[in-house]
Amino acid sequence: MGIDSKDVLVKLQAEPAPLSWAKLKKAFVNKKLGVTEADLRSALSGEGIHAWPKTSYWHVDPAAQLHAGILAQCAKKALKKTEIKVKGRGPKEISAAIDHLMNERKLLKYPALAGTSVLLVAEGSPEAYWEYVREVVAAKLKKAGIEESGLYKGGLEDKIFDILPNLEPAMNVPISVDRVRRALGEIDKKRFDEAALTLRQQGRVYLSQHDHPLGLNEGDRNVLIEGKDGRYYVAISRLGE
Amino acid sequence: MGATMSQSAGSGNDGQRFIPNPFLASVSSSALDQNPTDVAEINADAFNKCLTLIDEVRGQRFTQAMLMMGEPGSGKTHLLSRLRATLEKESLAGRESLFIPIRMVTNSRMLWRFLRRHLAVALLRQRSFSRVLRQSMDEIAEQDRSLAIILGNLTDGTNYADSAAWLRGDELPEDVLKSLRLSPVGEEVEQEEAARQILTILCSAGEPVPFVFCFDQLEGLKSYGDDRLGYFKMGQVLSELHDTTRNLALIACLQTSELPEFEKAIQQADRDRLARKTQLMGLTLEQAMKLVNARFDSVPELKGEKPISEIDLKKLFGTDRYCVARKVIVNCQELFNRWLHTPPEPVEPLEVELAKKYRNLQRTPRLEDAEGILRVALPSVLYLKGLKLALPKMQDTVLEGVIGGKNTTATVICNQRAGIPLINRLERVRRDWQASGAGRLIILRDARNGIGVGAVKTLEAVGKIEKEGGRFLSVKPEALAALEAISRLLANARSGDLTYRGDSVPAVSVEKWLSSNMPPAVEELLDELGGEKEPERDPLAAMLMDLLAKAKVISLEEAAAQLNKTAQEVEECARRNPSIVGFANGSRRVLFRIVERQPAEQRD
Repeated sequence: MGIDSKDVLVKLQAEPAPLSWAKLKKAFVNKKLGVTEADLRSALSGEGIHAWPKTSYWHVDPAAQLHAGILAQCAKKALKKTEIKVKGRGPKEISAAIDHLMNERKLLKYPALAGTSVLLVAEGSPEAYWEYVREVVAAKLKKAGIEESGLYKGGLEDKIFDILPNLEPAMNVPISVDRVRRALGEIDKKRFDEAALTLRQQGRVYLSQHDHPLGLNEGDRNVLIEGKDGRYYVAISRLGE
Repeated sequence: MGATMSQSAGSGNDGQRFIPNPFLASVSSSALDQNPTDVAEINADAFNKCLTLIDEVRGQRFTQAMLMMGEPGSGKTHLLSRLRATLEKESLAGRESLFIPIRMVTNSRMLWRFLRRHLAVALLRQRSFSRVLRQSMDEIAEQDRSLAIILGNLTDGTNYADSAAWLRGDELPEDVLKSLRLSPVGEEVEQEEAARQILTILCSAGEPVPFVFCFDQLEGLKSYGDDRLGYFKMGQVLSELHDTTRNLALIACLQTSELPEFEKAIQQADRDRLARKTQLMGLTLEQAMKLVNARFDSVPELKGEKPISEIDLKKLFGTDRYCVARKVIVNCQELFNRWLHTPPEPVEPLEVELAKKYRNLQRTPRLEDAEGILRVALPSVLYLKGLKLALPKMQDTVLEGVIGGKNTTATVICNQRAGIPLINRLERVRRDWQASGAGRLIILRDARNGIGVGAVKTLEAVGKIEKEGGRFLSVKPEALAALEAISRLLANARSGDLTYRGDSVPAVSVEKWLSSNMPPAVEELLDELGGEKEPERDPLAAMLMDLLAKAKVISLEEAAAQLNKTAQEVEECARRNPSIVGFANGSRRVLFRIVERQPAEQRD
């Protein structure tokens, strides 16, 4: 009777992790219907199905998944090669994948602030390097007894404004408030909202109004910037020509 | 109100002359609409980015994508309309392009078919295919023989209507397909794949002409508030088009409020391909004044008049630097009426306005659209009734989903015409139903799409499912019309295009209104789906069955007389119930009771 490899692929696509041979057998092999293990083996060689360690199978290429895991970490924060870990993958495998991504220019090298270490940042995520710089500087300042907010002469308004190009290099392009808050780390909501409204008043940013904030749950609404006139804002963009 | 208003106050609609209100059009509903007035300076940055995108596609032979965001009423659809007009002018000057506007009111499971339909519609709108399809028929035939036949027919004007229907992806009867020398389409998953292939072949056939896909109202992909599947799939589709074609400009329009949801829903790789973004902003006071003056200039009766001044507009802006275009226009509508001394129109409550808008959206849907309507609207209306359609585990299952708690109901839409595709689909439905563990199975079909007695194998597949307890539920055209109106009303609300007194009506307000004003035809359908009642049996069918149990075979006229019905009513009833009533339409029309069928291979 045979098994269509497309059916197997569809089954694998619905799985959150690679599926073992035993589970696949249970799902497809049916003696009554004349579907044999050999049929399943043949179907598993179909297009889009990848073999994983421990005789398991998935629709995701193991190499692609490893690459995605590495890039995701390096998009959040610049990391040394040895700091990158991927669950279930050994150091040698990870090291080879990093080298591959560097050759492909999907991982870019940045200098560490101290020493000669090289840090890795995913292409298109300069905010990851900023996150590293911010942490290093904040730690040094803290050691000297200075709070992080002392970094900015102009206060929180400048801090918000300065981070926007890291998140979105182009002018007049909205960045969700949620992303800006996350990039800045822990900042009191009221202070953040006031600073963003001041930036708008100064004509430096455009705030996009949320059309129906009351339809959101409290958690999602709290992420928005609360105006003093009952309006809520969902995104910030730098104004410019 | 500024001084200019009072100065001009005697020149209104005083019975001597009629002056149209130039601010009546406040919502651009389609990019194909002609803009009443257009001020090029407004949102010039976003517009220029669109043109740059298209130029790059033309020059670099690379597909490019851009996300265009804006608040409700900021003019996204208006901008697309401006883009269309500009491309049309360029086209006349020999710089060809194909403009494909698409309002994304669809279901994620039929995205490729939906896009194929819109590409086909845009192509069919062309004066000649050769302007935008540059590959020869031989080259196209190498990739898809059927497509080449269809394009050849359309070029020659042979079997035009059927060929155009095929290009749009409409299902055609087997005999029509045979006459076109084409093979039948496969199952649903294959249809999506087939649509993807046709679309990419058509796009490639256009190289180097840029095909400008404008995906308006991405919010229409949501069936309910936190539904993210549509965005996820759209991200995949955009990536696929980006990677497999070389001549597409992909412009996706999204409400800025949806940006966080959209970012969460799509994958990083898809986000990377949509890295280019632009934004439509509110108008400055100066721009608003230019818009107002442009609207006045479009009305010859207002030559030399300035019914609204900058002072009037300043009041509208208050301390804000920006105001969205729609708000400016709606306020000017009122100011203009006051200038005309037109008594203000009575403001109806929101509920009354919604009922009006709902009625205006109602139309009888085509048979081919029934599946799409059910796909889009069912999850929404079930959600409103507190019944969520849980998606089956397997991604490409033919089941729409499973509803309910203990007595779960597997639902499926099977609106194919009788024949091999429907038979195959029904067989998969059986398998999926069994795998889903649902207690009941309801198969939805457009009531107009009957299965004739000649379709023996199809009727056999129907009978097999019915024997196992599955039910076929005929969806009446009035229910389909209501469902379509509901989905369009909700999509308009989600994209900010549904307005009440100048403000966008949030989707939750529409949902609330619908919850207490569900059309009876939809209510009935939901009751049957939700398990509150079994699918209604056709009472005439029951009487007819009773008669046939005694008579076995009877002429149509005699049956009608005995049942005290017209022959037409009885014939329609027989056609509605082909699995239980036999109907022979020969020189004499005869009804008979179906007791047992012969094996199909002996009959067909």
